[in-house]
Amino acid sequence: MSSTTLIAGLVTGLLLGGLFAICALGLSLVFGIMRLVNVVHGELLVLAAYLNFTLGRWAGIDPLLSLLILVPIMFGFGFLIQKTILNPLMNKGDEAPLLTAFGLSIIAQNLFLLIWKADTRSLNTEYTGLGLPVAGIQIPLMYLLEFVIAIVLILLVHLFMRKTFLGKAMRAAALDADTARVMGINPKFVYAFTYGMGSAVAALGGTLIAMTFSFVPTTGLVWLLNGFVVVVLGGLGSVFGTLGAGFLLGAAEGLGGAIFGTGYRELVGYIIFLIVLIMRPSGLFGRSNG
Amino acid sequence: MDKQLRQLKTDKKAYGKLAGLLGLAAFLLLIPVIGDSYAELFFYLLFINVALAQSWNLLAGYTGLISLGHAAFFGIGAYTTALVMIWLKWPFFVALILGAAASMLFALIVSRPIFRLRGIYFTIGTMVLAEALRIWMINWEKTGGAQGVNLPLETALSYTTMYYIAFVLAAASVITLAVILRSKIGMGLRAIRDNERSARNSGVNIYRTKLTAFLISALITGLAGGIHAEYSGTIEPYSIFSINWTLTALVIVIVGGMGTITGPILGAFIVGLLGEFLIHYPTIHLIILGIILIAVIRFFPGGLRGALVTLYRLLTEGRSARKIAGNQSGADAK
Amino acid sequence: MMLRLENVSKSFGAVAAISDVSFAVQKGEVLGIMGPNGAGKTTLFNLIMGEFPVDRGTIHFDDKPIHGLSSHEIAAMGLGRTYQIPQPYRGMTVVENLMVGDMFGGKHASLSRARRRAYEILDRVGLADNAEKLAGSLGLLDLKRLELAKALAMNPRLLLLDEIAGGLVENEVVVLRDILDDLKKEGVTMLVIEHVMGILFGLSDRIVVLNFGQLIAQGTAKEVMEEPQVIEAYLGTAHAAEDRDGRPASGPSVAAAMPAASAGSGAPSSAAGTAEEAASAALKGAASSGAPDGSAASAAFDAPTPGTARPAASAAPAVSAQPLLEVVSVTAGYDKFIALFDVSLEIYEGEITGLIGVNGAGKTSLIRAITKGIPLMGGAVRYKGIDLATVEAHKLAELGISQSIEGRKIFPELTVLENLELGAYNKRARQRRKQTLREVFDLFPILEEKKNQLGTLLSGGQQQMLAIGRALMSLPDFLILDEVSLGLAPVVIDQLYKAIVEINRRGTTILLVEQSIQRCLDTVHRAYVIEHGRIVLSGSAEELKNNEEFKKAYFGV
Repeated sequence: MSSTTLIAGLVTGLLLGGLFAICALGLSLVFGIMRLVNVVHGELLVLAAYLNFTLGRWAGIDPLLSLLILVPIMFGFGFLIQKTILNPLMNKGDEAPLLTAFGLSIIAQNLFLLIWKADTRSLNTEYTGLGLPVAGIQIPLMYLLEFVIAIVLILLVHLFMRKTFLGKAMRAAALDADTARVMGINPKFVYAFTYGMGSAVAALGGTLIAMTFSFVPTTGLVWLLNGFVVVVLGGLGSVFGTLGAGFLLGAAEGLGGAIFGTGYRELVGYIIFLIVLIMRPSGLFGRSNG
Repeated sequence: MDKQLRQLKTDKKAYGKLAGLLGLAAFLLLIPVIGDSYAELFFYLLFINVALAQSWNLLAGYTGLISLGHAAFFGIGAYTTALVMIWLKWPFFVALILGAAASMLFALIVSRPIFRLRGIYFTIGTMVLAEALRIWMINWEKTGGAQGVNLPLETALSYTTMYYIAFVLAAASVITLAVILRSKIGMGLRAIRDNERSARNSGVNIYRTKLTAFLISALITGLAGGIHAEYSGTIEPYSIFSINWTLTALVIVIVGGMGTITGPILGAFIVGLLGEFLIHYPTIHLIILGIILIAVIRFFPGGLRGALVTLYRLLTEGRSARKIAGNQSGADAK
Repeated sequence: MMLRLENVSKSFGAVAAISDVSFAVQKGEVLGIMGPNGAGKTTLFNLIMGEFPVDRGTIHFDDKPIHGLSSHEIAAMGLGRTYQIPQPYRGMTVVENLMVGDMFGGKHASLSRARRRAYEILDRVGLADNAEKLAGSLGLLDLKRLELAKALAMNPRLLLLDEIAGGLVENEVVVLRDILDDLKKEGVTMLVIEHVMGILFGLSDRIVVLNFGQLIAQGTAKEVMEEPQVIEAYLGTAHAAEDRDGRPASGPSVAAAMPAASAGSGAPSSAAGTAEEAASAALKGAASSGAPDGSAASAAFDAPTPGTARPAASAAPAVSAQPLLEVVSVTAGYDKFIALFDVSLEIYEGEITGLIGVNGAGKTSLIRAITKGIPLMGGAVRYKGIDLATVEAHKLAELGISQSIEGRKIFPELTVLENLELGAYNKRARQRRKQTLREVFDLFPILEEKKNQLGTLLSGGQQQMLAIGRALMSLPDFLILDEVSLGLAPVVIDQLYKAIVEINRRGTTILLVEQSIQRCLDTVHRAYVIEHGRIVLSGSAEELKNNEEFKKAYFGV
């Protein structure tokens, strides 16, 4: 295989890593603030894709524009889920919320199947298939878009967490919920808000997935595991770590795919994940959780 | 006097339970005779699921290790058994043993690294492991890739034979768990589950004890996989490594009652019956399973068995229990 | 030598938890280990039991090296240990709890033999009737008995007891003491960490004293109590040694382990000369067993502390008719353990009220009951007439209640400024926060200097100032200060107390929770004394200072 193929794989992979980061961000936030392993995150991505698809069929708007409606809807939806279903379980150990999310994921997948059937779908516009030739490599426009969006999004979230009262309250509640309560911060509200945020970001991620690739009711699992890899690589509680890990994983998968064949792309990711997890359970960039 | 009375009551309960299970076993043994092939299929799947559930139960309910990657052992058992029969042309029972051995070997290899992961990291790790295995098998042409493999027709055994084999596995898994739990290692497992730090100070070798549970779990699951391979005659990675096997085992255990022996049996019946009822609507079946799972976790953490036990206690010992409780709080207040 | 430690050191990050500790224990001996909170006593046990490896030094058990072995190997060699907070196997019955140890460490492979032996041990500690109960359902005394029983199930040649009497009332302590005496008679070698001096001095043949991770004294009880370093560690009467501000927040409480429930003094001391002599006499008196008599101890108590300037409390403001905070017959606790029994107190606006009690008396539980950290089992808490049962926990800040929590609990990963600003989270405070920040910086100038530094980089004293400052940011009418002097050098405490008096002068009502009576009574207008979850005394600061009963109550029996 030629060096061009390798470089192409590396570069396109790196850009695609932006999408990985976006899709992992929701997982990272929820895990970082609430230590909740949100195994239904994949289905949130796919839900957004389906909703956008349906919206597109009714109203014919551009999927990115639909986000203006979709993001608030998904935020509210996530907020409700946390508030009603998951909040009561937050102090019953780590397994109860995780297994409940697992149950939600099964319900979601099958609801998708029921409502939208098993057909493969995608969100296509005039530009989703375009590519830009750069130095002999064909770079898909969507990849480039995702790269840029990822950076902007992560910066925005970072600023939110650092500068706003609510963002700081979120970080405080994550560090020490009891002390935060004494200071007037309502942890339950913070958790619901965080989950809402994660879902809102998932709206973006799911839409982009649908525009870049295709999806079926079960697509969520792959992106969930992908998200896990990114979060663990990037470290708990670090949004910049999520960004960096997204790019890293994308590049690794791109390279791996070029060398071993596209079928093995994700495998490369999983193997890296397992190796890192075993050597440093707190990720490459994150703080150790003792 | 009161102590001896209570001891007698416990003994009676234990015998009652045993009698019930034996009666059930007798009933099940007769199914191929009195029932039709449909019933055979239903109960065959039930047996497989009971075995999977008990092995998951051993890890989660007794050792405290929640694994979402159970399908890995199932698939390895299945593929090894199948390939041994296809490539080496060895008979089923030998292949089955090798399948179980392969599953245990895999468990041994991954145990060192994976036990270093605590809590949720362990769970995620198992999930990724299973998924990685699935992708590997999909792509590996040598083992048939996505198409899978077909077992040679000559080696096919009758459905009834497979029924009984599966029954033996299910019964063995129940008995194994019962024996383990009443043994030294069972105490060690429960100690680890309740308080790992204290267990260390009680002299329990945490790694070795966890590993033993892990290996036994892998053994049972591997056997189930091998049996299912023979039963199905053909296996491919999508279904044999599917997370649905883990899900079913999980739901059975939690709905039935985690950390008990009769719980999963109850759970298997419920899940199985539900599946029958909704046989034409598999998606709805799964949706309802999900809802039940969520409801049980939230409102009945002890599962069905826990709920029944509480009910029983309330009815029979209600009065005396309340009296004791009254004395207790009086003593506390001093 | 049953156990021998040589030059053992262990650090966690930058904190040296144990520094160059060496001592030995003979077979059949009981070695007492004492030291203020955070001195490293439990860490020592953890090191011996192999919970983590030593950085330097060696540990030998029966002349065999055990440093570097894993916990279960060490346990199986015949070492049994108890934890300060009992660690039972909650889902298993009491018998089964013991069987685990017996089978895995005590060398009984068969279940029936293990069960039989378990019953014998249970008989011994008085748990035989509860044998088939689930461990999770036991009360505190029984849990402590179980903790001891579990250690005994290991067939131990060496027993490590970590504050086994902590949290128990007098008659419960007696029960435990009897069991331990029997064990000693049988020749069981023991290491005993205790704050309850009666047990410590009565049981131990020798004592080692730890402070800041170092061994500062070794010898018989009398010898050890005469060491100036020990006296200083406990009473803090000498002026501050080197600035220990680099120490972690969990450093020893200066007056912390005042002899609680001491065995009482023997002959009263001669006329106290310096405070040190008086204190030493008091402690010596406590060290020898005899009839309980608080007089020598009270001599130490009365002597004014030299060298430290005390902020004079402002004159008590006129008491308004309606208390700001009312605690009415509150009973509360955790799970099976009741921490507060029928507690009532009143806090009046504009005053500083003190809450005095020793470790485990229930001070923090009372705070938690007020701030809705634990549910009430009986009684009510009323603030400005409002029953707090109707208010959600996070709304208290809005109402004007704020708190500096025990252990500081600042957010170490946020900067000083971020910590402070977060303190003004509630709407009332948020509008005024720039001004409040100015006021906090006036009180604690060092915080302004370090405003962009992360919380972790501050010294213990500065973290405490930050905690108080953060509590002030929420514009409280009522401020609760929970053990603010814990682990700080006297000079730093002086600064804090000056600030506290100033805060009160500016109009904030304060509830001051303290172990150190001197400081407290010199600062507050009124005080309550809590012991074993009950209010045993109350009155104005003057009244309490002159109250014989109080001194007896405090030094206890």
